Amino acid sequence: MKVKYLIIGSSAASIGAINGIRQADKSGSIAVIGEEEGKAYGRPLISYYLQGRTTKEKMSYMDEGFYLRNAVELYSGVRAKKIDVAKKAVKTDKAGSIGYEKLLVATGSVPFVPPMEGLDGQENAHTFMRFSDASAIEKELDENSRVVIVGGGLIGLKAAEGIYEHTKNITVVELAPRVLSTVLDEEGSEIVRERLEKAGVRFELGKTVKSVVGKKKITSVVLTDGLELPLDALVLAIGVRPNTALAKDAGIIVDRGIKVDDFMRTSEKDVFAAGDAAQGYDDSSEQSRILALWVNAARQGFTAGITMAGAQIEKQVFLPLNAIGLFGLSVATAGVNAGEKEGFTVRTERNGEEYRRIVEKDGRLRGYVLMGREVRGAGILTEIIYQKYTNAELSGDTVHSELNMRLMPLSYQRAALELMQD
Amino acid sequence: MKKIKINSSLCVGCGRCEVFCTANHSASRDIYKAYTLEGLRGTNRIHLLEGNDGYAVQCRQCKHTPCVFACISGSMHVDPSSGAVINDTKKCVGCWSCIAACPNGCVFPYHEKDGTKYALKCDLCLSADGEPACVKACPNGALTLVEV
Repeated sequence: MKVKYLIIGSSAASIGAINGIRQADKSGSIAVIGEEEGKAYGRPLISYYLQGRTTKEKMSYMDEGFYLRNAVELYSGVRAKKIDVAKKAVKTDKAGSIGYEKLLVATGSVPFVPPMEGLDGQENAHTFMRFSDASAIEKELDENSRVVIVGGGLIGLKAAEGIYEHTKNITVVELAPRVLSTVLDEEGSEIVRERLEKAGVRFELGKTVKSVVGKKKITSVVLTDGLELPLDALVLAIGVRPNTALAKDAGIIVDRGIKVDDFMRTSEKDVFAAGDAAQGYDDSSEQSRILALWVNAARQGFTAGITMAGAQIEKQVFLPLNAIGLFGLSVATAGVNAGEKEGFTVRTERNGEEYRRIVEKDGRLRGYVLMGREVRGAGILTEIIYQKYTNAELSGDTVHSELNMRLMPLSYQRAALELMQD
Repeated sequence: MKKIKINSSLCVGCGRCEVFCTANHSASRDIYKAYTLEGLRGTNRIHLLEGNDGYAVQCRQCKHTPCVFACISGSMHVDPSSGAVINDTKKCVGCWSCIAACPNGCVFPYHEKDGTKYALKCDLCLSADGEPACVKACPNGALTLVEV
């Protein structure tokens, strides 16, 4: 069995690649190997599922006819075992060996679970990444359950929001001195923490779990400061690490993630990588790094797809971009999360939970935090970073102006209105 | 595909486009009923930006679809038949990723009375009769539907 395009992975980057390939090649055969059963679904939706804001059916990422319309052969519930770059084939556990002309490695990331004394084989310890995780957690909880979440980042706090619909008894343990430390500054972080605390979520900051107590079922965890927290369910949401083993074994160059160029080409000819497993370029921090975010996976996948099909795409700009709703508070962030210590200029405006933090260097926007007002117009700031506009070029001020098109340079406004953008 | 071109110098700032947009996306498709009975004030997908040289603007239907890439639910999608970017509000969870991605500030947050959240954007009136209500309502020719 051989296909023109083979994709390992069946989430955002994979779907992006299918769309990219089909834009340039309407007929070349495409096969997808996906470890999870079923079609691609919105993984970040698992917290919304726990909240009851979506259903398993609605979580399906693409419409019903997508795979058929794009003539995609989906091998779901199948695991890729080995990439043979010399033979141009991928060995699988259930679908034999599949040959390819172009391969995309979109193996994503896996939850990072640090070593904890006594953790092995515990039934009520969960990660929070896949539908099966949310489904297992849901079954375990009732309104009296005590839940400890390890990790106060995006995954941990979204898990808290989902779990909160089932039980209010939640403690978040975070090693950093503040929540969401990778995307928020201290003040922004405090606004989020206060909102969650008002809802009754407890925080243990600057600590982590040293050991777990209980056999088969964890009954409590002991923190690094000696505090013991009794629990019914433990959620491990510390972070993710790139799933690069297949690529590494195949001799493809892996740094932290699989190294890719601007067009998602790896060190190996005809092999591409995209998504959480890939290490591309972050234009905002001007560094090669992994951007393990849905939007980047989708865009990297699309870029890879176009390139795999032999067509041209202009160099894409990639940067961190997050929109997070937490307990009714909306947060959007993009670009660098840094401050004066790192050589940036910071300007902020705050009115209660409405908060805007503008990070600049050399008179232009490099990153922002926006909270409240449902992050209206946040994309205007994102675009200013993408376009590298200096403050002098803008028609308003990034801290004080309403966030709408009138903040943009007049030439941008004219092009957008008169449909000359594309 | 069809897109709406805006000549900002012809916009008189009357706001008729906002009103007719709201009405055309209501169940009744009637202004009085949409605002008074259905409570749809604020659901317009075209917005008048104030100022001396202000103008009304709606989704520019960008070819590079940043909102579609940002969408975590797949609700924001390119309609295969028309090529227009449309949000399936029944599938949308209201995470606002599209709002953080829209380069033109043309996707808007909306809460129903029961708390259901979803993003609103121009669908070129494909959910109604396919003839953009804003274009028809504009009294001064600032908005025109063009084939690009």
